[in-house]
Amino acid sequence: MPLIDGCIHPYPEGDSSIRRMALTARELGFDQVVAAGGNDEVPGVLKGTIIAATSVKEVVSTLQGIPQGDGVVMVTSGDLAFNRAVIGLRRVRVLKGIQRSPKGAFNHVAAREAEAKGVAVELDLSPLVGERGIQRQRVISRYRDLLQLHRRYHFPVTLASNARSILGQRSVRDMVFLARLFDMEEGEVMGALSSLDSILSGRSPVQVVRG
Amino acid sequence: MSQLPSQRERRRYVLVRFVPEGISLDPREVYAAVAEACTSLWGDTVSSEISPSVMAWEGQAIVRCRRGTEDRLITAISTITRVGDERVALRTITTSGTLHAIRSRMYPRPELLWERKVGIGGRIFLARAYSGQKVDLIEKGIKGQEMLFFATEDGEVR
Repeated sequence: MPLIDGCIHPYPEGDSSIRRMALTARELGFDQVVAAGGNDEVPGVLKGTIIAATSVKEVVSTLQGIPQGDGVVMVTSGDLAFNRAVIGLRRVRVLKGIQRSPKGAFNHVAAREAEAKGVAVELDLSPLVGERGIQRQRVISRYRDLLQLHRRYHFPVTLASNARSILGQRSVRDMVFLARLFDMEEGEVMGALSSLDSILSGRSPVQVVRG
Repeated sequence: MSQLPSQRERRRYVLVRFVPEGISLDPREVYAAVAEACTSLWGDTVSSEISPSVMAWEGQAIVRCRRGTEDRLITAISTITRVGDERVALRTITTSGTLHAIRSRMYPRPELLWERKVGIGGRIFLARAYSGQKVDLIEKGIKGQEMLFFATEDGEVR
């Protein structure tokens, strides 16, 4: 299964070109990266589209402007009602920025729906690297809660560096160590790094084979 | 904690490479960055167990710690985003129990292939191309220097 960095932000949003970030990702042990606002002409790069909207109506109208099958559609998370509605939308693949949402914004009901619809929740590692003190502690605690829900309801999760520069990209090994901060085990990290491949190919992580 | 016959504690050595290529950093500032990262992530008690120290220098660093704490040291190193005023990333290459083994894994600085001025978005950058299709663009301004990171295939630097 290919290992995928869930989201990067290349130039002009960041300071590194998409090709350079793809080269760096390969050096750091990734097979592919999802580039927000990028294109999939560069080898090892999947096109990503981030929808940051305040209402579900706005998300739906933005989705209508995106061609069918055009990369990974990610929506920035909001409150619980917003998240549940977004999870129900057919083309949404990833719920982003869950650590910035209110605490009850993703509960067991949303977890069940995410599992049923195959929508992944992104665990953004950039606050673990870039923040210090109470902000980082809050994110770690939030991810620990999400991980408990993930273990119970088996909805997909992805791990993303959300790097805006090659200096923000981290290796697979670094991600394993950073994920240990919120008690995620190595097998779970590898599963999270390869979950986008299953989601995009429409495969369920567990396949039932009848004899 | 395991000790050698000389009563010295066993240590582990972590080889670290700096990005961007060719950057020169003050060893004391690297030590300060490593110590700050350990303390802010693990607290004073665990940091004293890790007991990090920066050992050697050549575009790369060897960071020493107590045996058994290397995973925590590597996690802390991965949270470093600045050394002094410079934006950097510290990439851990390998871990070893002896300085001899880790020195054998050190490699020379990447070769500078060419250097020229390029204009991007009405700004002039000094472009430095290194092996592995990497091109670093440096703009020196009044408020310090800004860097962009491109590849040789990118239209802007061709």
